[in-house]
Amino acid sequence: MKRRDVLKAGGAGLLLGTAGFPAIVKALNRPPTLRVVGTHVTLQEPIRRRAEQDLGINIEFHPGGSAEVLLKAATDPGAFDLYEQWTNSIRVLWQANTIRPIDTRRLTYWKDINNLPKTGKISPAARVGQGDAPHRLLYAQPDGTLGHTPTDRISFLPYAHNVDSFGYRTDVIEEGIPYETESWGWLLDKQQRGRVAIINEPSIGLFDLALAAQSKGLMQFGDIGNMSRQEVDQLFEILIDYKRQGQFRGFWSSVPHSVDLMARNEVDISSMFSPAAFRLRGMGIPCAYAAPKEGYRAWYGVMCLSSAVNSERKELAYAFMNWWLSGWPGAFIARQGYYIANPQQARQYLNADEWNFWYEGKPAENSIPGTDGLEVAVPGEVRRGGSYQTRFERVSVWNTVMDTYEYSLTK
Amino acid sequence: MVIGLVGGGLALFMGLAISNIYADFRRFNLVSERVELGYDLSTQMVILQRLSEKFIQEGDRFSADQIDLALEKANTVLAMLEDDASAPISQRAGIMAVHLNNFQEAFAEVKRQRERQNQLTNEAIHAQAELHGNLIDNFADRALGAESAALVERLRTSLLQIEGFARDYFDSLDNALIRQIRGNVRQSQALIRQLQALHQEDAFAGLLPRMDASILAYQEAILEAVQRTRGYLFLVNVVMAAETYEILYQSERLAEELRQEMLAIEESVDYKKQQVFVLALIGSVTMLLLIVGLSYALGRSIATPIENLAGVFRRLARGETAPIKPGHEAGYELQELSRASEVFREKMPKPSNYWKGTAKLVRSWKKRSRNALRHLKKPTSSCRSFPALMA
Repeated sequence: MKRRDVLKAGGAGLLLGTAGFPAIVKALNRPPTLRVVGTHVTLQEPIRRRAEQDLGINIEFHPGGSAEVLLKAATDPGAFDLYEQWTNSIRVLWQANTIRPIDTRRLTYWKDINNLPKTGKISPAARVGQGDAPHRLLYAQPDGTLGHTPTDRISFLPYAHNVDSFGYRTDVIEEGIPYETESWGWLLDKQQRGRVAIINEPSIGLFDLALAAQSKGLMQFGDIGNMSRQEVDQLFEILIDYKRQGQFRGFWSSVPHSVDLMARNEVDISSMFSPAAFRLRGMGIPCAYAAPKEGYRAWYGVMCLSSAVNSERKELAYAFMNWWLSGWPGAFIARQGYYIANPQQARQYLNADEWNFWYEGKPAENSIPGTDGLEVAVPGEVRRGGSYQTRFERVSVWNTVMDTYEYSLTK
Repeated sequence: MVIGLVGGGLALFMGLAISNIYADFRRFNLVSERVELGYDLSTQMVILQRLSEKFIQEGDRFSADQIDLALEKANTVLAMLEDDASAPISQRAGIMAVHLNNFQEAFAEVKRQRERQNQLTNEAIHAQAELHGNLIDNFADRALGAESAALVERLRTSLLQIEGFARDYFDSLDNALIRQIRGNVRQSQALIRQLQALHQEDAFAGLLPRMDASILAYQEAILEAVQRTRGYLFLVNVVMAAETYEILYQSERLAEELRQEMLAIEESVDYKKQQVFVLALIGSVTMLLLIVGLSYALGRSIATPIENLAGVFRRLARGETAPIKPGHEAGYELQELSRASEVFREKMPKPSNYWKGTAKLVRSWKKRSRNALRHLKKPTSSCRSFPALMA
C-alpha cells in the first residue's frame, strides 16, 4: 500500500466519521462554551468579546429583564452555567436549590475583595444598610442556610456594585444640595404630579417609594428592609392614593426604558441607575443623579454557579469569575459609574484622572469618557455624592426580597 | 359675461369650500372612530388584566380562553388604529403594539407557570408526600427497636409539618414558611442518617436512601411550585400590570391627541364656514352691485344713442344740416339708424333752398298783409280797393 492510498483511506475514514458523527467532530473543533444569564447591566458585548479573547473560550450572554432572568434561573438551573444579578436574587435561588456554593479557595482575587461584601461596611464608621446586605447572604453555613459567619463556601461571587437613587432634570426641578436638600420625598412631591417614573421591580422600586413615604413623614417602618404585612398594606394605601391622583407617569423595566422616558420629556424625576443618568447627560439632558439625605438604596452584583453545571463548565465558570476580578472588567464598568469588589486591581486599567473622578470623587482634570468613549464629565466636574467610601457609608437599604415579597406582589 | 365670470368664480369657490368642509367632516369621522378604537383598546386591556387575575386565582382554562379572545380583539383594534394613521398616531400605536406584544408574551408565560404550578400542587407534591409516607410506613413495618421507632415517628411528624407548611404557604404566600419547609427537610435527612447508622447491617436498610431521595424530591416539587407561584404572581401583578398601565396611558395620550385633532378640525370647519359666509356675502353684494351697475350701463348704452338720434332728428326737423356722427358707444343697430338718417338727410330736397323759398314767400305774404291792413284802415277807398290789394 502506497502512502497516497493510506492518506486516501484516512481521508475517507475522516469523511465518514464527519458524516456519521458531526456533533463529535464539531465539539472537538469548537472551544467550550459558557452560558451566562443576567441583565444588561453587566452582560455587555464589549465584556463578552474581551473575555472570549482573554480566556479563549466561547461565551454566550443571555441578557433579560431582572425578573425574567430570575424566574428562569429559579426554575431551570439547566438553562445557565453562571447567573449574574443582584443580591436580592440570592434568597430566591438558594431556596430553589438552583445555585451551588462557590469555593473561595479557587478564587484568585478573593483576598483582594474589600470589606463591603464581607462585613457590610466599607469603613468602620459606615452604617450597615437594612435588608439583604451582601454579607448577610454571602457565606453558606454548615446547616445549609446563608449567613455572615465566614466559611470557604460562598453563595455568590461579589463583583459589580453601586448605590442607586433617582435622577431629575435640573432645568425643571431646582438643583438640590447633595446629602442636604436632595430627598427621596421628591418622588412624591405634588409639583411633580404625572412626571414621576419608578422602576418596575418590587424588590427595588418598593424601597424607593418606601423611602419616599418615610421621608415625607407619611409613615415609619420598623425595619424598612423587612416590612411587615401591616406596613406593606399601609404603604400601598398611600401609594394607591398617589397613583389615583396621577402622581406616576409610568414604571420602567430596563435602563434604556428609563432613559427614553426622560429623553422623550415624559418625566422630570425617576428612580434611576447610574448609567442612565450618565447617558442622559451625554445626550445633553441636564439630569442630576441625586445624593439623598436619607441615604441610598444599594445593590451588590452577584455571580452564581448553577446547581446543574457540569465539571467542564464549572472550570470555565471559575475562569470567568477570576477574569472578572482581574482588573480590565472593573475598569470598564467604572466608566459607567459602577464599582468593583477589588478596586485596586481595576485601578491599573484606569488613568489617574479617571480613578480620582470615579473612585475618589475629585474634580475631573480632563474630559472623562464613558464606556462608549463619549464624554460623561467635563473638566472640573465632580461626581455627585462624592467618593466611593462617602457614598457607601450612606446606605439606607439594600435591594431585598423580603418575607412579604409574595404578599407585596399581590398588592 | 362679467356677471357670469364672477358668478362662476363664486360657485367654484363655494364648491371647493363645501368639498373642503366635507373632507374635514370625513376626517373628523375618521378621527372620532380612532378615539372610539382607543377606548375599545383601553376597555380590552382592563378586561384582560381582570381576566388574568381571575385566571391566576382560579387557574381555569375558560378564563385563559377568554383572555386569548380578548387579546385577539385587542390586536384587531390596534391594527385598525394603525391602519392609514397619521405619523404621530402611528408612532403611538407602534408603542402600544410593543406593550401589547409584551403583555401577550407575559401571559403565555403565565399560562405555562400556572399550569405547571397547578400540576405540582395538585399532583406532584401530593404524590411525593405519599411516596415518602409509604417509604416511612414500609420501614416502620419492620421490627424496630424503641430508638428507631421514635426516629420514625419524628420522621412522620416532620413530613406532616412539611405538608402543613406547604399548604399554609400556598394559602398565605408567607415566604418565611419556605425556610420552615427547608428546615424540616434538613431535619428529616438528619433523622434518616441516624436510622442509617442504626441499621447499617439490616436488609431493609436499602429503604433509607430511597427515603432520603424522596424527601429531597418532595422538597424540590414544593420549591418548584413556590417559584412558579412567584413567577406568575410577578408576571401578572408586575409585568402585565405595567404593560396594561402603559397601554392605558398611551391610549389616553392618543385620545387626547385625537381630541386635539378633532378640535382643530372643528376650528377649521368653523373658520371655513365663516370664510364661506363672508365670501358669499361679499359675492352677493358684488353681484348685486354688478347687476345694478351693468343694468344701468346697459340701459344707458341703449337710451343714450336713441336720445342722440332723437336729437339728430329733432335737429333735422329743425332743418339743421350738420352731418350726423354716430357715437362710438352706439350699438350696431343704432349705428345703422344713424347711417339711415344721414342718407335721409342727404337724399331729401335741399332744405336750404326750400327754406329760402318759403322765407321769401312768407316775407312777401307779410308785406301784402301789411298793405291790405293799411287800406282797411281807410274807410271808403280802402274798402273798394281791398280785394285788389289782396290779390
